[in-house]
Amino acid sequence: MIKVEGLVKSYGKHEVLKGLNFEVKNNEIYGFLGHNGAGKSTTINILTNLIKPTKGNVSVNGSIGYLPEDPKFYTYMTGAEYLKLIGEISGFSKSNIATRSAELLELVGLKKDAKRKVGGYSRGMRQRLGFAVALFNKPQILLLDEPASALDPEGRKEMLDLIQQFKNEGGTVFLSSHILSDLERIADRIGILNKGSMVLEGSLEEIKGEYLLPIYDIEFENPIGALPKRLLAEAWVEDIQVKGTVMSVGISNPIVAKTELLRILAENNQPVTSYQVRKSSLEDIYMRAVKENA
Amino acid sequence: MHSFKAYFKKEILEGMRTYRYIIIASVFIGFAIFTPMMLKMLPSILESQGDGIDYSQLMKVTQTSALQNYMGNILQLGTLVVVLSLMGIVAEEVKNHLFVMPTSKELSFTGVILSKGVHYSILVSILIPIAMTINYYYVAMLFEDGVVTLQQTLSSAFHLTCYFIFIIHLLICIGSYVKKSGVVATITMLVLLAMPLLNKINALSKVLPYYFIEAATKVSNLDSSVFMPLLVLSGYIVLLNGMAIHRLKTRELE
Repeated sequence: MIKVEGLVKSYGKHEVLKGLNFEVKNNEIYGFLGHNGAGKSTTINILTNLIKPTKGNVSVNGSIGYLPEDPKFYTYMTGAEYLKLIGEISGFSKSNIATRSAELLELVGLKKDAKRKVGGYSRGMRQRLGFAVALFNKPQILLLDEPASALDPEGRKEMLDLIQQFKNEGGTVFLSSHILSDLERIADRIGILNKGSMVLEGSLEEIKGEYLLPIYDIEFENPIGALPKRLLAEAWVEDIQVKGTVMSVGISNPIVAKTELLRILAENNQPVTSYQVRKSSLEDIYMRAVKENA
Repeated sequence: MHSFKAYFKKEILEGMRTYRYIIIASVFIGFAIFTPMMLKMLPSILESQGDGIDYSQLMKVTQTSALQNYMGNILQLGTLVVVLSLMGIVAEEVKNHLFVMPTSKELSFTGVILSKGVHYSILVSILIPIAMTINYYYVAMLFEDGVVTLQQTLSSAFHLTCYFIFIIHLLICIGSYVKKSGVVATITMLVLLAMPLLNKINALSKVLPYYFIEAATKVSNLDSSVFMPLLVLSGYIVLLNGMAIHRLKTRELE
């Protein structure tokens, strides 16, 4: 449905996108992950034709619905009036506009605020209205830029459910987010963007299978001292994060780590209050991918 | 066509909800009523200063001069109000990314620009003749000398309307290029202020919209000499709209 080849976008000498290649298949949710400033919004803006690429080929096959990160509306209009404007631009008849608007306002939970001016909406309400606008003409593809960022946890869950529902009804979704747990919940495939380049791409299963490694969370009674430095010298240690008295050790060789880590801790002779193993999350995979490509 | 209709209705809603109609109408109609009254009362006000001069003999106001006085006010303050009220009709929408979501629904910028131009042109086409007629009513009531006919008044109204239609399309065009409304207003005012100076050049005087100001203040019936300036004005409107549409189609709207 969406194919991007060699996408480059520069503003003067500053290169925001450095030759992106990716494909979004029909009826999948593609999660686009990256820090602020990585180039996610720029990519989406190119897909929606709001801006032109400097180089590269972009092909979007299907009608689109777009939700920007911070949707802007005419503040003197009510939510219902704005949807009416969108309906009229799209060429819908009067009765269809009324029906579709009522349907969407109900879907996004804005039915009771439909006659309130958008100027009085919270950020979350504007996000919901934006989602309704994106869905208005029953698009085949949704391009969503941080769709859940302004929502409270309950709102986020509802938004993600709506996105999943759209996919279940045959739609294709390309969404960017920095909320990793959201993507973990609904995305079929993930692309990780860092400083304008794709550093990792694949299905969630593939990425987890290849990159999912155990992490040992060890809590000490006293400040940790030079132990992290000692451990980083070991070949089977991937990386170490220290937060206060808790040290998280990312492991590249679980078989060796099972015995060696305990041996080194024992040699260190520092009291340990907690010792746990967990599987790395998408966040850990992301941090690794970004670090490797830094 | 969908975009034109949708945005035309949107402009009407915006005009009401942002009080634009009220602001512009109150200036045009307010001056239409108060200018002749002030002219009538001015000799008395000056006499009350007590210097013994009979100002009613010094200040002979005719119907023609009263009408010209009103048009002078409109051409100064009315222009300022129109420019300040409408300076953001395109610029603010671009700056505040208000076209982003409609663009994803295949909004036509041709429809948008035309709707704004047509809407505000209709507004001044209705407002100015009404205001001039109100002014004529008071002028005819308060002054006896230099009788002016309604036909002559409406002829002046027609010329003024043409001039303000030019201002509207100029604002729309500049607003497509410049994001800051204040800058749009400044550039527009500079163009309008330059026109009387440029009008002194014979070759240019035939092609400048300034013709309409001169024709309006003559307070005479419409004649065939208006056709050429109307044709030139139409050319300006087509050019300004074309430039605006092209700019919006090619600029990045993120």
